[in-house]
Amino acid sequence: MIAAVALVIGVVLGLVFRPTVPLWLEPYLPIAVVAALDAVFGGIRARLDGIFDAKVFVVSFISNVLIAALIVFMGDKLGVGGQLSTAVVVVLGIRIFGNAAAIRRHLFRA
Amino acid sequence: MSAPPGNERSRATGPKAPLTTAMLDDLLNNTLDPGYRAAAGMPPRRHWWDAPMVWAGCLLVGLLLVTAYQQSHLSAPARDAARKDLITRITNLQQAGSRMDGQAKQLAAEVNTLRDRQLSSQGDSSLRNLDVVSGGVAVRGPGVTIEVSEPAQPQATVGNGRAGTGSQPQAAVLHDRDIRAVVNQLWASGAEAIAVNGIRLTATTAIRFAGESILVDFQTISTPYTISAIGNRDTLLLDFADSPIARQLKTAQAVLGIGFKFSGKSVLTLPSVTVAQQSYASPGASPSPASKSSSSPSSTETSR
Repeated sequence: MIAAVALVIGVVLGLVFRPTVPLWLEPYLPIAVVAALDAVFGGIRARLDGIFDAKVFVVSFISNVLIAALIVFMGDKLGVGGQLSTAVVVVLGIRIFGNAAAIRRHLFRA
Repeated sequence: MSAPPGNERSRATGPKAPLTTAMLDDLLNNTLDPGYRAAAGMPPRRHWWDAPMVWAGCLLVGLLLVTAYQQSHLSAPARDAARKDLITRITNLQQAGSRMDGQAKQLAAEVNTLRDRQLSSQGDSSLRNLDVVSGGVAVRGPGVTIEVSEPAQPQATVGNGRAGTGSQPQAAVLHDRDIRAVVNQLWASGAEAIAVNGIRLTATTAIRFAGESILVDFQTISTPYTISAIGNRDTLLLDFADSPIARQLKTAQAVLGIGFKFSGKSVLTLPSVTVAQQSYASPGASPSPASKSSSSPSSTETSR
């Protein structure tokens, strides 16, 4: 509950302050969003499984975002940025879907 | 994805399972971060910072989501607006330029008629000849048109815009020197007036190359390039067909796939151009201007 409130507050803060992202960081933003979503769904699922751990959640969130951005950054430098970002999106997307399916089973028993 | 068949799982995790299958299976079935289960196995420890940490993490997630949304959706219209603004400025300036050009042409025509009225019939024909040669008046007559065009671009696979994945734009095959060679050949075989893509060539017209495009009289022209010349149609055609540049272009047509065709025309109309006032050059003493003028454009063009 408190997490949902914090999420909403974060959204409101973003809407109010409109933080500008430096230009060099802009390409990594979508990847960071996917990584963050993965962490959030993982956290929700862990909560429903009853094994939620605050430290794991925060560390996995930050490291997922950083590593996803780093992979894409390296890909850009090597000239395969598009392919590597596709790879990151596919892997994280599979995880998001899997976690979402587990959450669905928890909530609706279906 | 959910609830895989049991035998598949046992096969994948069995001792003989290939590494790749195990990896894929792990990816598809263990979507939860393994850290949670590991942490659950440990004795539970409660810290005072657990709640604030989750709180801050969720705050960050929300901030990230909304920032990304704003960045991709709200900055795009700004970029579009800037682009549109630039485009309108360019078209406005182009329109202003062509309007002023038309004005200059109109004034030149006015000057011509006034001058014709002032001058008696005696010096008239030589003056008219000079006008034709200098490009000050529109001319019509028989001649040839030569059309060369860039090869059709192969449809490259479209990159997704990320750095390092886009396809390089193909360099132009036709250069200014090709156009110049054609023009020089036409002057050499006695063309009296030449226009490239509707831009009349004068003694001070340069054909140059800037970046990826050809400039004629400092105006950008693009493929296909049409070179029209007025003169003795048969001489022009025969001489051009026999010229080295025609052979070169024909080879380029066969090898590189450029478009290249030329034909005689019974009536061609070439536009006039506003001739700049001569500030420094004054008529020399020796030959009569009419005889000199017939060869002057070709020599100037060849020297470039």
